[in-house]
Amino acid sequence: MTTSKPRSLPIDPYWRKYSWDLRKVAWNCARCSTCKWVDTWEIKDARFAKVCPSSSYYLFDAYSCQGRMDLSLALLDGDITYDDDPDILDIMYKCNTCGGCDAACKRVQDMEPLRVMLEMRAKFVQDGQLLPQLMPIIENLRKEDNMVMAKKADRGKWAEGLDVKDATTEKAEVIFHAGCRACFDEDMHKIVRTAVTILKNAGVDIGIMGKDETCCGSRAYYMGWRSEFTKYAENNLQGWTNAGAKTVVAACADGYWGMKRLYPEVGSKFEVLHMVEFLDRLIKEGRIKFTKKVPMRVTYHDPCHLGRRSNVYVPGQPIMGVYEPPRDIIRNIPGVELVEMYRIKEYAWCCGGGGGVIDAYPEFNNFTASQRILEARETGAEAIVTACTWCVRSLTDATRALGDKIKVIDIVELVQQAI
Amino acid sequence: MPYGDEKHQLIYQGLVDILGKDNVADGPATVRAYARDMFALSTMRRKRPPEFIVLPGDTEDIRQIILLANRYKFPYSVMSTGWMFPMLGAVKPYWCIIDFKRMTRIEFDEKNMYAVVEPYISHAQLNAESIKRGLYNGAPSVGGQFSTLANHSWHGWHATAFRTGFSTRNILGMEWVLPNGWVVRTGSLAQTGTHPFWAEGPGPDLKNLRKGIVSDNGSMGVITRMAIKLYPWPGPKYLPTEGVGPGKKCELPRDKFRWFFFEFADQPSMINAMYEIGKAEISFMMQRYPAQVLAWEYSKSREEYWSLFEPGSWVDHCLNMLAVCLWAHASKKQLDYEEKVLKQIMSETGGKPVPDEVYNRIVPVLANTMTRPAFGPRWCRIGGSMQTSFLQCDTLDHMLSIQPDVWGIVHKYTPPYLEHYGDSAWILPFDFCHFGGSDTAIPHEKSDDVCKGVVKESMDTIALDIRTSRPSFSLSIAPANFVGPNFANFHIPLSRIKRAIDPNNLSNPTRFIDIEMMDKETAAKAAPPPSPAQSKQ
Repeated sequence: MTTSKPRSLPIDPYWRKYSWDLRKVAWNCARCSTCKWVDTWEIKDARFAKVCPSSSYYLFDAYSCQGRMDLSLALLDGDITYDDDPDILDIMYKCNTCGGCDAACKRVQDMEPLRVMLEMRAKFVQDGQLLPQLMPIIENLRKEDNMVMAKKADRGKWAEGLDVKDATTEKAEVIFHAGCRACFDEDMHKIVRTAVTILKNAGVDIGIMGKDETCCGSRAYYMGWRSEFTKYAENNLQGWTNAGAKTVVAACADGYWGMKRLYPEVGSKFEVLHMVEFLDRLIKEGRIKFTKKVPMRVTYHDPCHLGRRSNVYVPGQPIMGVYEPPRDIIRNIPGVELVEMYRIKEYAWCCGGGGGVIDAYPEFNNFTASQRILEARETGAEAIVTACTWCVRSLTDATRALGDKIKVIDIVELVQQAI
Repeated sequence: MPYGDEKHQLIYQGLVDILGKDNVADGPATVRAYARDMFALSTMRRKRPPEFIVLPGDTEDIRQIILLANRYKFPYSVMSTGWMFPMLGAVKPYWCIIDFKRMTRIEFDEKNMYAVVEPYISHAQLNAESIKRGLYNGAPSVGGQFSTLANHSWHGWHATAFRTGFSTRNILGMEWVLPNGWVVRTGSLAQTGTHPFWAEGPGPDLKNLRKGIVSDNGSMGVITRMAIKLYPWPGPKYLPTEGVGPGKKCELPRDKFRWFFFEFADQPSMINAMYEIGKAEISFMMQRYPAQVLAWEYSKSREEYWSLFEPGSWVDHCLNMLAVCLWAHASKKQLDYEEKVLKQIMSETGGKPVPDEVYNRIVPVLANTMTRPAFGPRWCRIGGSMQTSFLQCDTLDHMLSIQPDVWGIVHKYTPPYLEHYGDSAWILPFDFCHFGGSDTAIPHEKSDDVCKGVVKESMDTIALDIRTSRPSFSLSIAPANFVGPNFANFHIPLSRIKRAIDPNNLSNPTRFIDIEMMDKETAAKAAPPPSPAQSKQ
């Protein structure tokens, strides 16, 4: 630049190049409110212009990313203490951790505010400030190794009768991790059974941990229980190592996010794929062929932890996620017409099930999912297709509550119909 | 503040009776979210949250809140997205902030080209719904996420101001609740009760009470509905986008929108070109797009931003850059004609097209953020905060004469202000160049020490504007009684109006006009001089 004036650069190097600092992110929230809205260029309808479910449901700014930055700062600086307000935990936990705000803030401020919120939750747990609604979930996790209040003994039921390797006793190149929701929610059994069958028929050397599979720990992580996360991560890594696996395939977005984003911090070297990535790869390699027409108009719901949350943030780089593989799969199925909703990819609306919300705040979970169903209905689609068992659960429940006729299906079910 | 005392409890219960428990908050963790933003002044005041936040659902709710405020004598201000926080945050005990998040209705009259909005409809929402209908609303570069009602009433400088004018001139019928609880309807809304298609009505036009360079910041009551004039839009129903943020692209079809960016050797020749374009009545958008804004909006990260300051940067072509966009409202022939005229004007005024390398960077990434703003808040990414006290409105010629004073102050305070890209102010012509605005948003680090310096600079700027009698942003955010003596004592009639409609001085007191301070000054003047004995005490 041509200038005769002396240079005046920021004294704090934080402003010259991205770096992570919990307090600085909270302190430097500009209150620009970008975190509450879909990318402004992408707003197509005034009714579907928000990106933050929490801010949309609870309305007060305290329940937005901006408000949580203010509260975090006040707590970190000692301006507010836990005793000052019984709502502190609720404010921080009434958040699906979907990352809509985070993507928006990265886009304009080069900051990762969701990381602040997750760190604050971990601090709460460390400080003994525990959200009562989550305590039974965590107690059950410690006792029964799952996040859905089920008995450990029932974990392997989903796979009964499936002709698939038991990776606890046999070597397998690929481990299929069904996850807590799919293992214990009977409505999800068909999804994971179908997934395993498709992979097996495609010639994949696949194994499951069956009744010995344990929680991935991801949900415990974003609820703030970091040591529980580490325990389960280490346990799973040991099991996969013993099985001689190279690749782990996750059926849900939460598991995928934890295994891909968090497990490397615990020493993981495994290739982690979500089922849609693996399916897309097999289709493109010609190992899965579509032979039947599926005449159906569908829309696709991006699971947050498979989409915008799945990649490490690189300043200046696109906020990427697994956006295209599921869409490629759908487009490749003969007869299927894909119609997009207003909010997709990095500015997608959440299903509502993340962040412990499905456990602690069912009404808020239902509101969030219902909004998505209303949006899907606008497309004229017969079915909303997604790629996460937690999303299937939330969206299915909302559809029932609304009395809506739209079907909610996992992408593997759609693929199966076309094979 | 007397948080939790008997008066607080009475007010809280009164608000709950009106709105229900779910729509009233007074918890410290909730009100903390309404205590600060990124501006220096609110950073300094960040530990002073309001006592109540309320979520009204309609005009009647607001009327009831205001009646309650008058009963218990508690002050209130309004907030939508909260960008102008320094003018809205709490400064007195029992302060209540009216948050509009439940007021999100929007209606269109496509034939008569207007929309009626409630306060929590954003520019981008209005824009998205308008373009679907072949219509368009002006929006400020600062961001599409801000309340379109608030920005129109406040002082929105829209990128299309060359055609769509000063934002307040696009306000048609309006509904607002006075601080005494009366509901006022202006323009044709006053006549028909339902059709706010026209700004004018019988008798004196009350909406002008709220107009000015930056309006009244809610000191004259609460606007609950506003009709906004819309203009024809020749573009697609949805903005065409490509890619994933932060480097998302948006390019409007070139057969409907033609962008031109011209470099000038100096500012006078650029201003001259603006006047000529105005006389020729061509183009729909025109402005001096400042290098500083371009750099912060273009860059996708802090690191990239600072890399643009390296010698030989492409941004050097943009130091005196005029941005013009032709809109094909009629036909391709119209565009061809306007392009021919534009090129003729440039050949006569010395404007040279920027190199292709610069053009191709700007158009898909930046140009259309003037149509629907997407990157304004990036200015806070440079140092966490930004100062914009050098904002002036006058003739375009005058925009030139003020530049030395403006940059003199900026240089004096650099540091703490951060390096900016050239002395390149934003210059925006309004209404075919009938008048213009100039702004120099300067980034700074957000720390208590720096913010103190920035507040001091604001005082310097206000003093300069008073000395030079310039109508400016700084003067408009200072209380009227502070600057009025230098501007024909306008604060005196204003204070009479304020007292008449806000007898208890509760509607965002102190900001627009500080009645309490005026009364103290009057009392001090009227009081007999102290006796020698009193003086000793």
